[in-house]
This record gives sequence, structure tokens and C-alpha cells, in this order.
Amino acid sequence: MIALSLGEAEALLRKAARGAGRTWGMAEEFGRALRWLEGSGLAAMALAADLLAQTDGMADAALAPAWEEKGGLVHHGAAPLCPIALGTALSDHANAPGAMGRIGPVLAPLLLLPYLADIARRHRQGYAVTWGESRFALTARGALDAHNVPAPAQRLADWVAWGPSDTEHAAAALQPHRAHCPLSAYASLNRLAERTFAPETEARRLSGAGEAKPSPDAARPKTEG
Amino acid sequence: MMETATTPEVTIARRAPETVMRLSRLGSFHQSRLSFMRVLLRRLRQEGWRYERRHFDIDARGVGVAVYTMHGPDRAYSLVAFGHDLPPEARSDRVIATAWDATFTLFDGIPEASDIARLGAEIPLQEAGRVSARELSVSRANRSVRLFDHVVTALAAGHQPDADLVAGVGYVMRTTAVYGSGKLGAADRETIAMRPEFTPPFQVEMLTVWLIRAFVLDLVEEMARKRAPKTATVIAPDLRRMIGIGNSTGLGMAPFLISHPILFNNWIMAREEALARVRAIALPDPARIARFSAILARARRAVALWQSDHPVQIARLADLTEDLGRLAAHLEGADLATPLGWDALWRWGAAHLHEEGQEMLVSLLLEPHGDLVDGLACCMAADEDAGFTIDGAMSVGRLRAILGDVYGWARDLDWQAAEAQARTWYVSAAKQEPRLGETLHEDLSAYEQPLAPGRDAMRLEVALRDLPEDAPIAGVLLAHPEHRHSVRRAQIAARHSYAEIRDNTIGANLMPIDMLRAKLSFFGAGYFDPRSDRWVRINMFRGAPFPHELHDLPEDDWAYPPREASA
Repeated sequence: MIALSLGEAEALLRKAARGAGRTWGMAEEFGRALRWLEGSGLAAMALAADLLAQTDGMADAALAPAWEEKGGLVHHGAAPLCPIALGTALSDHANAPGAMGRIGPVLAPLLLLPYLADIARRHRQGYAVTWGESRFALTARGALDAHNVPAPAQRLADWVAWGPSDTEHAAAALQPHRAHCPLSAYASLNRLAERTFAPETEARRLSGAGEAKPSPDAARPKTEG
Repeated sequence: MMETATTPEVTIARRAPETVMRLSRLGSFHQSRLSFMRVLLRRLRQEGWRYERRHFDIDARGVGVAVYTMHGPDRAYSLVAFGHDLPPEARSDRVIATAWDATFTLFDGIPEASDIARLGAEIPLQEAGRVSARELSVSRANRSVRLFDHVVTALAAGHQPDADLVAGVGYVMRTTAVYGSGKLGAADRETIAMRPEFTPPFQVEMLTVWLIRAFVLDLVEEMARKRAPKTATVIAPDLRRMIGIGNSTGLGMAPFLISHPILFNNWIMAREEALARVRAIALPDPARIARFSAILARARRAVALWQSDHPVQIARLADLTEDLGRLAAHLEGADLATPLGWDALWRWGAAHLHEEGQEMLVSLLLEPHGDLVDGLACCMAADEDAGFTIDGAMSVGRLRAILGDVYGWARDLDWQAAEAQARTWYVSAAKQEPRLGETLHEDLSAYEQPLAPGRDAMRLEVALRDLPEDAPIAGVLLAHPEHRHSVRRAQIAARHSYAEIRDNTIGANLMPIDMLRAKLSFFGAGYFDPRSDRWVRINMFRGAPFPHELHDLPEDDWAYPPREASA
């Protein structure tokens, strides 16, 4: 395990998602979602590393739901949705409060929570979210409720369902924020992140950073003024 | 007397973003009362923070450990400093260096011996080490080749260092990085942002640097004493105070302003609001006019001390020197003690001074008006996260209007022309540092960082071209996730008028040092000395009180050199 600051976790996920072929805007979403999850005490780094490895090279659009006038966000295919692509679509379309929903299959459904929490906050409406054995309650302030049933992290859920829920309990106080990341996930995320770095060439090394010409470290004393 | 200053009878609008957010103007900013160094020292003084040098064990070569603690009303913070003896050939200001003359961390509280042992194994490694949430910053510094040895040698022989040399160089060590906000495993900003002392931006970093400066001056005096205990002396206080901390900053800092749009907006907004408040003063009072004139004289001394070998900065310094001379001459004939006299002076300056002089005039106008403007410092922090969620219900028509308003300047550029996209921001594999490539010479598009908001906004505009006005943007984002970052920026900029630089950040004419200077001026740095178009040296805390004398010297009166030559 390596303990990362939330800023480091966010930056790593942003780069890794970009390295896995996501657009910059979606890469920002990965970073922010992981920051929220880890800051809320939910270990999600390994799950995110798995998700990116599994969807490596796939376009955001291929992992997102479709929009239909009548049915809203729907998914017809058998290929699982990316929780970040689904979460952003839900967030972008979340105009009316209190909507219920059910969609699937969804990869790493835990990563959907930050989006439903944000929708809960915007509509000041608590939400209950379920998949498999997991049950999460989100408060109207967009925080994790204290009474959650975090089942073992699931890499794929046949469906995720959510709906308004009035029960609200005080969220548990959180310890200083750290993101605890297994070393294998850390290595895998870094491998993806490295793809965003331009390989070094001599020409780039010389020109890119624009280093000053070698010179003494100070200007000469002035003789006037 | 105070009433005329604090009850403006008219409202004066803040300057337009189209005027302020141009790179050449941002690159002409100077430190002011709202700069973070000055905000920090005002607070430490007003709250009676107590200084303690808890530990100081440094040998004749400058090797050892020291701990400097500031005790505040509720909490204490300690700089843990490690001195090293670096062979000259290993000394580099580049971020890719692997060894430094001194390394530092700001510890949250008072470190135990076990903490110092742990930090002694990590801090000297800098980026290759790891720290914990007990650490708030990580930093390092190198000796000035020209001044460090001179000062130690002179002091060991019982003399004062050469005053002209001290004035010319301005520092004996310069930092090459100050990492905060969760870097290398340190505490995230949100874990400390609720503490009043760290609510304004960059207070952790500024406290770190201020204590580093105290350590560095103690270090040279101690080295002299260890070398020649019988003859050694210390630096005279006035000369000592004129030694700041140098800093060497490259491209790594430039993307920050683009990636923190709400924070940058709040900095600019505070400064523009401060200017508008002063301009709106119904009748300037004589005491403040006198204070303004006195500060102008001291600012002219600061400009005389300011040296650069870079052609761009040499020309700008000539402009600034001319501007301040013109301003002083104008003051002799102008009567400021007339209705809206400060505004009249500002309008005269906008018509007669270069951008360097105009922006210096902003700083000078704030000086006599601490009661009106200092409180704005609390508005300069930002919750960047607040702008993250996209409003998917926004219509295409509304988004188009925002693009026209915020990125109108970009519509006037020919984006097909080579000079419009002459540069590519990328990150190098070698040390993961931001760099700027020449688009014509090599195709770096696969590695391009999202640091060209204007160009990207124009691409978004093309994608919107055939869509109905009332279509919600949510559908566009589903079909075109490649525009997501641009939609987010546009929505932020619609709510925060100074969030976006209204200039081309990838054009052939880009001078990255303009972005560096804008940021560094808000830190409170001065004496900008570009070493290239993307690399600048500066001085921090020059003239400032040391921790041991903070409460013995006038409050916040250090940013301009004293009126008479003391060095």
C-alpha cells in the first residue's frame, strides 16, 4: 500500500485516464470522482485501475449510455457501461429532482457514487443506491450516509438502481484524507499515466524547458541610480 | 479624515476583463498590499505570533539540522532545515536536479526527535522522498555562487559584506521549488484551509520561504563563526534585511493559472476591486496623499535596484523608470485633494503610462488604503471544485453567447495560420515537467496538455454550429466528450469574469514569463529577472523583518526599500 494525498490521487487518475484514451474532460472526471471516493473513506484506487485496464483504448462514447426522448438515458447493448461515462451523462441530464433510475450492466459501480452524490446535493434530496449486495445512502448534502453496506468492491454489476430516499443519518466523521492504493494498482495507473508524457529527445531536452544560458547567478551591481 | 476614505459616494466599475486579462498586462503586475507574503506577515504581527529557534546544529561547512518554530494563538508550525555541502558541479536550478545545498519542510506542530529522524531520511531526497500529512510543504535551496562565499568570508574576517554586491545580487540562497498542497504526500490543502492562518492562498508556502530566509542568514553567520571564532562578526541589521530569498522558476508554474481558473479569478477580482474602491474615494485626504508620495519615492528606489540582463525586461525597466519619473512630475503639479482625486490620477496614468507603470500605479494607489483593501485578502481563496459540475441544461444558444463574450478575441485570430498554433504544451517523460514545443518542428499533438483554452473554445464553437439554439448542452456532451473540458471552462468563465486569460497561450508571440510574473507578483515577489522567455529569477521577502524582529518594526512597511540608501 502507498498512502497518497488526495491531490496526488486525483492527478494520477486524471493522467491515467487520459493515457487510457479518454478525453481531457473525462479524464478530469476520473480524477475528481476518485478524490471524492477516497476523501469519503471508500477505497477505490484498485477498482479504478482495473476499470481503466479493462477499457484501455476505448472511446468515451462507446462506454456511455444513449439518450432517448421518451426513455431518457438508456443502454441497449450487452457491453458494460463505464461508471464515469454513465455518471457524467446522468449528471448532465439531471434537470428534474427525484428521478429514479435503473441501468446496466455497469463496470465498477462504486465509481458512480460521486455523481449520484452530486445530484443529491444539487436537488437537496437524499438518494438510495443499490447493486448486488451493496446499499449506499447519500444525504441531501451530497455526502455518504453513515448507514451503508459496502460489500466487497464489485468489478461489474448487472444493474445499478437509485431513487429518492428520505432517511438521513449524520455522516461519520472522516479521518485525515489519504488515498490508500495497493502497489499493483499504483504501478498500473502509473503505466497508463506515463503514456501522456512525450518521450525525451535531445532536441526536446534542449529547447522545451528553455533553460537559461549558463551564466553567473546574479546581475552585476549597478553603477548608477 | 477617515470618513472621506471609507464612505465612497460613487461607484466605480472594476476594469474590464478584456483589458486586464491580456498576457502583456498580466506580465506587468507588481507586488501589492494583497500579495500573499504581505498578507502573511500582517497576520503574524497582528496576532502576536512568537518566534523560537528550537534547534540549530550547523558545522563550518553548513552541514547540519535546524528547527525554526512560529507559535500562533492556536497552533505552531516548524521549519525543519537540513544543510548540505554540495560540490559546485552538482548544483543546478533545474527541477531535474538531484542534490541541493539545503532542503526544508514545514512541519505541522513541533517535531519530536523521531520526526526529525524520519524527515532527515526523506527531505534531502525531495521528489524521490515521501512525506506524511504532518508535513505541509517540501522545499530546497541552492547557494548563490557570487554572494554566499563572499558573505561567509567577509564575516569570518570581521568585515561587512560588500554593500553593492549585496544590493546587486539580493540573496545568498535561492529556492528552486516550494511544494505544498499534497505534493509528495504532504497534507492536502483542504485539511488546513479552514485554519484562519492558512485560509488566504499560499500562506503555507510563504511561511516556509520566510523561515528559510531566517535560516539562511543564520547559516552564513554561523559558518563564519565556526571558521573564525575570534574574528567573525554578524551582518548589520539594515544590510541583513536587504537580503531576501532568491527563487528560480521555470515553465512548471505557468499552467497553474490555467488549471485554477476560479482561484486566479479571485486574485484578479480582489485586486481590481481594491483599485475600484480607491478610485471611488470622494475626497483624498492630505495624510494619505503624503503617504502615497513617500511610497512613490521608495518605489523608484526599488526600480533602481531592479536589474536584468534580458532585453525584454531591460526595455520594460526603462519604461517603468520613465513612467515613475513622469508620475512624480505630474504629482508636483496636480492637486489630488479634489473630488475623486485618486480616480483622476488613475485616469491620467491610464492615458500616459506604459503597462508597467499603470500596473505599478495600481499597487501604489493601494498603499495608503490598507483599511479599504486589506480585508479583500480573505476573498482570494477559492473552492475550485465549486465550478466542476457542468450545467447540462444550458442551451446551445446561451453557450454560444458565452463563447462570444469570453473568447471573442479568439474569433479574430486565424487559427489555421502557423503562428496561431506555433506552440504545444506537453509534459516530458524525463522528469514529468511541463514544456513548450514548437509545433512546426515536431508533432506533439498526442501529448498535448489542455492549456489552449482559446483554441479549444473555437473548436467547440465549430461543433455547435449547426445545432438548434434551444438544444440542451447535455446532448452535445454525450456525442462530443472531447469538448467537455471547454464547456466546463466556459461555464466557469461565465460566472467568474477574470477566470480566463484572454490571449493565445500557444501563439508564436507567447512569452511564458508573463504568466510566471502574474503569479509571482501575487506571491509578493519582486525584482523579476527573466533568464529566457520561459525562466525567471525573482527575490522574495527582500526588506522584510526577520522573525526575531517582526514585532519591533513597523507593520507591513518593508515591500519598498527605505527612503534613504541603507545598503
